[in-house]
Amino acid sequence: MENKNISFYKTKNLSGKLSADTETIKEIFKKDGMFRSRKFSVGKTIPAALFFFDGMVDSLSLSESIMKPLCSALIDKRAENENILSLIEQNYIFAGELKKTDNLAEMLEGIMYGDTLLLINGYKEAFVINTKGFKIRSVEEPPNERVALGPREGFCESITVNTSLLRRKLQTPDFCTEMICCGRRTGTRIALCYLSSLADSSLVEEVKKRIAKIDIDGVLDTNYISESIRDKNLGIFKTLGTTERPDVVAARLLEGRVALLCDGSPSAITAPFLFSENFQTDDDYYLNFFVGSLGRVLRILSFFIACFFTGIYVSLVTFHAGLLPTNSALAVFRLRAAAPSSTLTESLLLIMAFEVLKEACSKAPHDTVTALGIVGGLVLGDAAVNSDTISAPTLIIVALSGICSIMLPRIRGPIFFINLLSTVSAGLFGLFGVFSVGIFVTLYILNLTSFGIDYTEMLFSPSFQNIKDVLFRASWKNMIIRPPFNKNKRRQK
Amino acid sequence: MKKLIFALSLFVAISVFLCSCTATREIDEQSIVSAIGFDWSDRLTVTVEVLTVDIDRKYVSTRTFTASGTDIESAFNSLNKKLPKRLFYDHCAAIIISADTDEKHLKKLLYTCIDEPTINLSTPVVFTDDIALLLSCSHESAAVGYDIMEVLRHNKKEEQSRLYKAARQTKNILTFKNRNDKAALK
Repeated sequence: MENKNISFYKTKNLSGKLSADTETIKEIFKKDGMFRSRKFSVGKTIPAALFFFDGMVDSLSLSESIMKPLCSALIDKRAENENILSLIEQNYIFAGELKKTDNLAEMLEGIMYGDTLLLINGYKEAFVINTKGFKIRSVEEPPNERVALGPREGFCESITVNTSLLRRKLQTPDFCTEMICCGRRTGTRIALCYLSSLADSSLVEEVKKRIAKIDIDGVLDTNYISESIRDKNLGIFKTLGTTERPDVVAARLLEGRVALLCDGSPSAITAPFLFSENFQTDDDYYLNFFVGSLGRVLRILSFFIACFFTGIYVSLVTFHAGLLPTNSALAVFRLRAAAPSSTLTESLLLIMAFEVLKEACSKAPHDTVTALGIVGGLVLGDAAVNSDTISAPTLIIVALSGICSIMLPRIRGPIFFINLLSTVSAGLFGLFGVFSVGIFVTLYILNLTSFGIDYTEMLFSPSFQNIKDVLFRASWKNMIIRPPFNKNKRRQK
Repeated sequence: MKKLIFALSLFVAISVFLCSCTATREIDEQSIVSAIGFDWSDRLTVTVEVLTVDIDRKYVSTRTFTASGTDIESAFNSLNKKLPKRLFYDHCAAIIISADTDEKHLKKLLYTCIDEPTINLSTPVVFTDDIALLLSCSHESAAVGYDIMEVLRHNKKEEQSRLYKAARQTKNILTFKNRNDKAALK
């Protein structure tokens, strides 16, 4: 029975003989050292057995809710067959949730997910009893999505806790959570969440259809799903939103979107996702709308600086020095006088160095990040300029681009590629190259879709109601209309 | 795949050809000209004031180079041989021409200036009696080319300075509206 995944057992049933069935289940998990089985008698007369994984179940719940009441039960063999199972179900198992099944696959799934399987001699049916007791991380603020004001809770790795966090925010019968299993060998539970009165039913169906098509060994994080169900598989821009904050998911569900939670992952996916959402942060909505709008304008500006500033600098210094103001030209001329390499080479080296530093800082232990930043940024940067290895203007420009890219964590990857491309094009073709990359990127973004919705939806709309949450953040009083991709467009009167 | 590679190669080749990327000129690989002077009496003498950076890279100073020839082309050829870097006229602040240049030579010089695409059209043409005197004032000024117009327009410098005295000899200032502004030459 080795090398068989769960689907193999979907058509299998138990024999009804406890000793044979026990052997069957033991055989399946024979190589797992944490698998446990426990034989006992119900009411001292009917042989039964429990199967579970050590560490996955709550041992107190196992003994108090199952063992104790069953061992002391007043049932004997003479009772009618049907009655015994019903009696046990109704009177002797104190667990909050149990399922009666005769399907071996469902039994095994239950055991592997922290439930306890109860077999009773003479019955092909068994009880899968909820005794989950594995350790999960507590609800904490996600480190990558901190806010100055607003809720401080974030998703953890348990899908039940995560859905409960959403349910607590959306106390309406409208809120739907459909559970789907995904991954041939992991059997990961995925929760599809939406508000039935707002989410377009065709969108919900499309999400289900795409998830059903996923045929991979395992789903260990939402990114496995995200990459499998997105509109274009090889794009550099994310066309599905990801967040670790339940308040963000709740806000998106209230706009008629759908969310996917994956068991074992603290991040949720939301769809459809628009380009403008890359510039939104949670603080925009928890601070005054003037402050929020200012932040958003700065982020939009940062996007252009991060993508094209280095390229424009390289092209001006390399090809079009006449376009620089005389004072700036003289400053660059003075500071680049001893530079050993070309502006393009310098810029590429610095871009790569900045990325390495960012990556090192993100992977380094928390207490060494500051030291790494000081050594990498200040000491190395200063030494490089003083030793004439790198010219100061190039360092300033690349550092400014790098800092601007940090302001947009959702599109840091695409920004790096665009910056690299525009810099290389600038070094080869001058401003012609930079503008060519700009046009190419614009056309590419305009062609993207997220579940059939234009990625740049609302971005170029002349209507105030459509751009009220795109280029800036209007006050809640003016947020009258929901985004155009949901059933119920009016948010407030 | 072959078609794609061919198309991409073609695109890169055409782009390189069209934008003449082979002619990359880094700003520090050129000599920035701050002023250029022409004195055409018997022979044409071209004097350029170029910017140089001191060894500590703290200051920009100037050096003047002079060369002469029978015509414009030979004068510039001779000048280019004296300079280690290529001349860069985009930031040239003044074109100084000797006031006693005859009309025929003057027209030639002005046509050359107006047709040279790297010379900024807003660069004023200054007529003076003594180019050598004017461009030798660089020790008083960071760059004569950049300061002379300030002196002429706003009279900011002290009256005793040589630059002021030299600038006072200026007869006329000419500016072009566009590259077809041949009327200005008359």
